[in-house]
Amino acid sequence: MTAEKPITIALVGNPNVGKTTLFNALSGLRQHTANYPGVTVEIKKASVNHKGRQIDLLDLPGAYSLAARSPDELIPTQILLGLHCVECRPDVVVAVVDATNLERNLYLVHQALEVDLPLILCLTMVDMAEASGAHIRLDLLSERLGCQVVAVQPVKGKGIEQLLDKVLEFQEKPLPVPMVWPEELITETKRISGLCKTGTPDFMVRRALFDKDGEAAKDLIMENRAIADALILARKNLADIGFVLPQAESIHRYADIRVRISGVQNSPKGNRNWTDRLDAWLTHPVAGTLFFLLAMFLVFESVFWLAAPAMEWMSSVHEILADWILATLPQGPFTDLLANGIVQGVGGVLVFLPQICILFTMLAILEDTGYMARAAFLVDNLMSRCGLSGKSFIPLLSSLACAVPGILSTRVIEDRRDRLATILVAPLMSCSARLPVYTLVVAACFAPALGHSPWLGGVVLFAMYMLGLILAPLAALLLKKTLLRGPTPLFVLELPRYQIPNWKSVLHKVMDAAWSFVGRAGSTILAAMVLIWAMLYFPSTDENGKSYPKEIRELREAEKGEEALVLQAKWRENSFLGTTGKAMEPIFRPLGWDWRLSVAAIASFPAREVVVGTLAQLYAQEEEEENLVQALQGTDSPLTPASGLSLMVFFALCCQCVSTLVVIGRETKSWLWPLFTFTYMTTLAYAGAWIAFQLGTWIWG
Amino acid sequence: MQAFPSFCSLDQLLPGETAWVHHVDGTDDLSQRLCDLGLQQGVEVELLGKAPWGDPIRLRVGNWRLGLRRREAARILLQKFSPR
Repeated sequence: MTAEKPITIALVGNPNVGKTTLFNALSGLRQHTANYPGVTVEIKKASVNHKGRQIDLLDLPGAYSLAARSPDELIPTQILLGLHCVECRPDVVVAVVDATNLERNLYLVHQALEVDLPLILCLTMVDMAEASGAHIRLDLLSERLGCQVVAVQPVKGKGIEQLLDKVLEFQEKPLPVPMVWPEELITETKRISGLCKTGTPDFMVRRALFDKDGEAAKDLIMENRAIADALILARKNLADIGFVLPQAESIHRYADIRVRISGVQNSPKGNRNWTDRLDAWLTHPVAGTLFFLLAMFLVFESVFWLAAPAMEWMSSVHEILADWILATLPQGPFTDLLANGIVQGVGGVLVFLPQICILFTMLAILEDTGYMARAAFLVDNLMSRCGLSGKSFIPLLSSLACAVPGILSTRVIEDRRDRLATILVAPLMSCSARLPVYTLVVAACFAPALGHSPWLGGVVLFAMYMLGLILAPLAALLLKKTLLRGPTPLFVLELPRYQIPNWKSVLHKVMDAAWSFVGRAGSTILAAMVLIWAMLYFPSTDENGKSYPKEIRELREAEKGEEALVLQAKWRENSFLGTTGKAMEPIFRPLGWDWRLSVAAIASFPAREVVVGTLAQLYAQEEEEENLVQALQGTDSPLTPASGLSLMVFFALCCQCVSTLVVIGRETKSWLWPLFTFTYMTTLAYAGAWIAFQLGTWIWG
Repeated sequence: MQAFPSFCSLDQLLPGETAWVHHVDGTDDLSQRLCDLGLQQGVEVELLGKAPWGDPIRLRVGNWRLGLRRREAARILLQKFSPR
């Protein structure tokens, strides 16, 4: 038995039919996400053992048609036609179909029935169809379509065994061709087949004919350039007899589907259901907008407030761990690296894990209930004015918490230019990592204790958030008018039925996001932190060859704390990072910064939250914010209201986040776009900070 | 039944009004997408509501719900009597 080759099955179906829920029910937690170079969309894979036979599962992105219109839809087309760069054609196709919407769902099935693969039709939401009075005769449907039909209820685990049984049973059964095409189409197909290499199946030629510039056409033309002209001629001949492509395909298929399903179900009534009643409120121009604002407010409140205890706990854990390492392990560069570089650095980033988990839970719930589509519907008008569509809204909003999940959630956007524009402006939104910087500077420069109005701090903080909220849409508009110019993308948005989210599917999404975040913290951020640490630690001897750490330790032991701090400051100043900062000082002087602020800003390029710790170290204070605030308020401090403002604006606009750049690189599959983001944001940040400094000098002198 | 067919485009439908698809205009991506989604002759559509500023609009197409921009909806031509 074990010697038998595993069976690969591919799950295909329209979006929102419960395909992923079925996949989760089939695979349990044994799944992983496959990422291919050059492809922006991921394929989920899993293996299960059924009756001693290994079955490999592929969960393909949802699609309405094999005539692919988005990067998502390309995947099922490529895999079913055997044109995917990595995955082979599956042995069996499992077509997942929403029983409440049989006609439209069967369109993709109708196309898939032609590709010469065993197909099992898997009906979901049969209970819901029955409840609305539409009884479906499975045996008749199976007979009419010439394929096996199984009804499943993935959430309850019903029908799963039966489905796997059918996979084993029918994996080698040949399929009848379900559709009689017009004689002329058959003639044209044969003529083009003659130009193709022998063995090219008819369905490939037909898809090449149907989809101008589609995957099948590209593949055939690559073999023989003459096919390009032959396809054009064939399409023209067909149009002459009234078979006008591309519509003719859908007209013929839908006509055939209607004949085949007549009598299979008593016609479902298109009556108003509770989704419509809910939508009357939730998409209402006034009530719906108010609810939308309330929902978004609650999501972000929960991200900040629910996460706070967990974040405090995590940050105290890594503080304790760092202290314990410093106290226990023998003194030396390695211990310092472990405590200050790795534990403090990576820990400082991992602190954001609770926020990421909560944000993703909220977003997964919004998505799985079906509300996300309504949110996109409500804001589409507003977003279209800056050249984007409603689908860009959630990614931008998520970026207020963190640009990384924000960028990941752009995958729902079909249009490449729209998606790219959204990705490129998302880092402009003020993420939660900027908040510590803002609070520190506000406390140090705009505190009421310094004679400022008690309102000023809040106003400055609000202004920093508004900066991103205003500049991101403007930048998107500019990008859409220049680099990413193109036709207005389609906004064809299915509004799925509202449903109670399935906690397993929510958990899967949250775990995926959490793992990829931890993975990044363990790789990129770790490397950056080690580098920053090394640049602050070395050279660790002064001009006379005396070791700084040794001297500081001796001073501390002699209870000369003050002198130890002075020496520490000197060490930082003479470190590689310190000398770099001093060399860079002229560049940052127009912004009102001294070498210490310059160093802090440079050190924060890998991750902006590094700035607080860096400033603390540079000012040779204990790493407690109150002390740091006092030091920054001190007379020798370079931080005036004007330079403070310029520092905040710089941090608000600069892409000081390696994770974001790495994610942009990963999602756009190019190093050009992260480079572009970094360049434009740094330029913008420098210009903005300069303006802020001039403005600040003018206001506060 | 009226003596002559009365056509209108989908963006001219009033909220709560029902009509039947006659055809989708054009041969571009948009019209192909709408055809693939089953906006075929004889399919019943109803305007359910509108977003703020009246755009996009919310429709019932047969037994499912679709959001469309008005400009896109203008491509769908309707007849106001049942074809069946």
